[in-house]
Amino acid sequence: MDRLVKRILPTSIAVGTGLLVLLGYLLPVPPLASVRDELIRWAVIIAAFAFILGFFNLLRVHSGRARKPGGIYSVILILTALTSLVLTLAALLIPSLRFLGDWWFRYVLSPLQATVAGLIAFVLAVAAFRLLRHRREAGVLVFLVAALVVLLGTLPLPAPAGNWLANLRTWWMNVPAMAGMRGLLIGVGLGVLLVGLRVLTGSDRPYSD
Amino acid sequence: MTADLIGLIAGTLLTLLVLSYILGDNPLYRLALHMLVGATVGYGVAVTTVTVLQTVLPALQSDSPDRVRALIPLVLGILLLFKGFPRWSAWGNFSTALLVGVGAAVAMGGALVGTIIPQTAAVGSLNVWLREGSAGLINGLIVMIGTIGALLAFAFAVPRQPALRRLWNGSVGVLGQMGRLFLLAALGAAFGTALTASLTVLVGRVYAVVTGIQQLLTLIGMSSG
Amino acid sequence: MIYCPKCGTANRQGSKFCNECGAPLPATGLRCPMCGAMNPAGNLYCDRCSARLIPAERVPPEEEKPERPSPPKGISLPSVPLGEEEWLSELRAEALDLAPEEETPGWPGELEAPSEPPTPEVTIPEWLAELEVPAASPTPEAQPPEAAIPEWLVELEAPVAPPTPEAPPPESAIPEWLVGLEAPAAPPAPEAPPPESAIPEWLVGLEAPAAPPAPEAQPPEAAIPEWLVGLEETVPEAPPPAEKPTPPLAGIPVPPSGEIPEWLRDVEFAPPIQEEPSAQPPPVAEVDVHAGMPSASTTVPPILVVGEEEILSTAPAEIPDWLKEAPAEAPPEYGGLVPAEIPEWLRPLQPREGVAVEEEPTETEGFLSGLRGLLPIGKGLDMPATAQPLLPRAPRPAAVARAELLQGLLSRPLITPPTAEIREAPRQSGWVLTRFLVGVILLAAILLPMLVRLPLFGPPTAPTAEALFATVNHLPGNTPVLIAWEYGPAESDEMDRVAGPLIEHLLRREARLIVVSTRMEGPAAAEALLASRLVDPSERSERIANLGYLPGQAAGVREALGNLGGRTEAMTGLPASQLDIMADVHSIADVGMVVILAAQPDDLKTWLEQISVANPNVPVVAGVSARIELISTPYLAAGQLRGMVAGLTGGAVYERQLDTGWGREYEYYLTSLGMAQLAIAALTVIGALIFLVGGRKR
Repeated sequence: MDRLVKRILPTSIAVGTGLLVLLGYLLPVPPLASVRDELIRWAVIIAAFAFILGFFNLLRVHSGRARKPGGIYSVILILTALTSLVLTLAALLIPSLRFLGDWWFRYVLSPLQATVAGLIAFVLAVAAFRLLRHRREAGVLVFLVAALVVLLGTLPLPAPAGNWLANLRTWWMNVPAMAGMRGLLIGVGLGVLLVGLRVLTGSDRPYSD
Repeated sequence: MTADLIGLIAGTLLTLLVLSYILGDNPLYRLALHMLVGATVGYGVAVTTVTVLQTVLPALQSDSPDRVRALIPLVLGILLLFKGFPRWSAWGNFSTALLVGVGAAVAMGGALVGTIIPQTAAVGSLNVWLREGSAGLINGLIVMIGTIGALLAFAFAVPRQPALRRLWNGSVGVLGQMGRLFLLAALGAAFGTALTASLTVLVGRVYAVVTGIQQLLTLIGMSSG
Repeated sequence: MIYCPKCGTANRQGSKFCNECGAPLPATGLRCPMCGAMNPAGNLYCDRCSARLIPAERVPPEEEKPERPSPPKGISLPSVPLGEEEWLSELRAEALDLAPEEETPGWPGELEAPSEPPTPEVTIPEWLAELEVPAASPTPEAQPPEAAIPEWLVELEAPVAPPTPEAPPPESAIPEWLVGLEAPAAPPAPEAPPPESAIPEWLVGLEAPAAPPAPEAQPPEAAIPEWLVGLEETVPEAPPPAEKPTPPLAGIPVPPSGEIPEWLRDVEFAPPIQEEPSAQPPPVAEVDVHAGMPSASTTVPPILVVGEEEILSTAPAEIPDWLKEAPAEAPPEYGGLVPAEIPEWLRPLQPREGVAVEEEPTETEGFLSGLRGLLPIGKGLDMPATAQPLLPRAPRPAAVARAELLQGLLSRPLITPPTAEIREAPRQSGWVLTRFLVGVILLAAILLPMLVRLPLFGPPTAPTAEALFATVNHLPGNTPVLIAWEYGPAESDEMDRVAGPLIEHLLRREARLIVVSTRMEGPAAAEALLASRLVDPSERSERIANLGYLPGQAAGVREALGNLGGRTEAMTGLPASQLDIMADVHSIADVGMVVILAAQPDDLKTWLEQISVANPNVPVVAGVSARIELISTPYLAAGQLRGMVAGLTGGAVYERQLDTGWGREYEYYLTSLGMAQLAIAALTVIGALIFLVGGRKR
């Protein structure tokens, strides 16, 4: 019974649903297409519950950390999460309270997210300064040259250097960089195919214990 | 107006807390980071919950076929919540299995039809090359060699037989080394563009702080004046 | 050495205060060489294991305590040398008081070597006759030394030739408890080493008691003792003597019925030997003898457990006085024989009446079902064990020594290399300085254009943005356009300036905008921008439908593409099918264009792939962040994207084409961006030169 619940049934569900959806893509048969759409709809709803589960897990982890030294940050995280949850729910469910959600989104969520994203520039700038600190080889020099070409060619400097740099940037982005990126895209696509096949054949079972 | 003023102060203050990272890791930065995580997760759960309710409730209130079709994913979603309890986590395996199976199939279909086939076809698209003349032809050849080389750069398997190994190293190995350079050219360009995007956001944040301080000073000046 | 707990300085053993800091040192004493325990300095013996702490030659005579070693555990037979022989002295005295002809009973004498089989009327039980060890024994004429040692005790040392063992009756079965006894090897006796006779094993391990002085008188011919008389009834004739020494107990006569002789039935064996040496000798088996045999609780040792040889013989004799009158209590000192008891290993061989042979339980489950005894389980093993509180046991000496060594190591102060701290300081300060300088340079580059107008940069160029503009410009009016709003507040500072002109252009073309997002903040970010770009807010319901958040990433996109009409409008809560703007829009097949506004590469890829599967013919354009400009290029080159506007520069180009009036803002942004990029490029070159010239840092 234990083996049935933990391994056999989940594997059957994963393989069965995956094959049905894939066949629905390949075979233009209406019943199969409607089964495929129904399964996808179920997966969308279940995925929403997965995020809710992650939220509760986060609360549980940080409530445990709150009792330890340095737990004031976890307390603040929990309080902020609950405040955000309440205000946003109120704004979405009660039209008259929408201004609360708008305020929270505009003056708390947006500044925090945007500023953290802006800090990436600072970190990348420091990384660019220390690029040749540890490794000095031809590949790193190619990397460095590519970064400089893109940086300097984005905004054209006064002619003639500016035009030349802008054209170089355009060529670099459309030829060598695009070649490498296309190889990466095809490789990633092949990897996705391989992983999907392993899941559909039951070789990989990330869902069972 | 009061709410906007409070919000302006709060937004400016939070921005400065995060920007304090430039001076090094400090408690103010950590405070702001924890607030960010909490606010984002709480907001996300609220939006997700309302979305689920908007999807499932109308179906539950409708006639029986739609009700059954809505009840099954609802039950599976509730079973997924059992994953948070170690003793009953096995009951969430069914929902996870459905997610994994459907997700894998959807991703496979999209990768094959949306990326692999069109991108592979575009590698050797002679008419595209010739559209831009001889320069286009040369560029097209470079792109083709670079694409193949970039793929072969990840070929780590080597034949055991010495003769085959020499052939492998001579052909695949050389192309792979060349492809590695193309990959580095792409990654360097990606680094540059990522820097550009982040700088744009940083510029916007600095502008927002300056604008906020200006407005606050204006309001203080107006109130004092 | 003793280590100071405060400063860790090593001090001489026995010191009371630290020589360095003066802190009191742990109390010192003598360490036991056996168990390692610390004892007070005045102890002579270890308090824990009683070993001598100070060598004997160093101990003043008056301090020496007579120490009696504890008997080895597990052996119930006499293991202490017999020192005083008070009880033998008493016996000797009594014997001397006896008449010469009564001095010793005759039956012990015949333990030596009965020369002929007993007369029929004196039938010696077979089992008793054969209990004598067959060996070349000293002749009956061999007299014991002048010491007053009873003959029967003398012959404990020199194995006696057994009486002619009788053949066991064919119908009789040898008791199990006797069959299993093996012939033990004969150890050398202290005074009379046994000859070639085979001494039973169960007698070997026993320390040979010092031969007590044997009685002088020879045991004359005597009648069968009363306690042996009763055996005549049940014991058949003794078998003829064997030429070879037969193993002891091999020819032990067994009653035909297989029953235990009566005088053995009631034998109760002594309890297990105590761990602590007891002052009292261990209790011995009680023997309930039929004919006058006194029940001696302490004097009569169990039959099989006395001395190093078997002592039984069937020689008839009178019961000696010492058997008749058993002292009430065992003598306080051992002196002579230490009352022994049946050892633990022998007790299971003893037959028990009324105890049925227990069969192993039959297995009922699993592949062993039906089998019995394959995996035997003991009593209680099949029952759940109850938790028994374990009493703390004394640690072993080796463990104590290790613990004390560890404690000594831990009490020492840590010795850190002095150079480590110095090396750490300049590295941290250099890192902080670098970060600070970079931050200052960046901020200065960004803020400078706000203070000073710097016409450093020319107008940006973006060919792809111009192509997109042309595509949108040809869009028919009232076309439903699906917009994948894949960015949130984190990227809004850039993406609003990329998407803004595009959205405004679409609104100018009177397109119907249907907004969906797989990002949770997407719908809210869309509302903020749409509100700023919409000229007439009242037209919102006719121009815009925000269908909210799509969970599930690729699955959500696929589901939405196939069922746009089944969604719910985020702002009003109405079903999409009830909106006028969605009147003829049910799926992606009904839209005229798809616009992907993405800041992350996965979002762009997911939408492009799923659209290729669902409806590859619908035109797709993209407004992307500069971050994913490179990943969009292959799709643009392959024709999957019909147009693209990327980054702030692309947005500026599009804005210039559209002329929406936001140009001034773009100029500030572009100048600051250009300055910051120049600064970073300069920092990169300077850093490369520094590390190229300065050498690699490890």
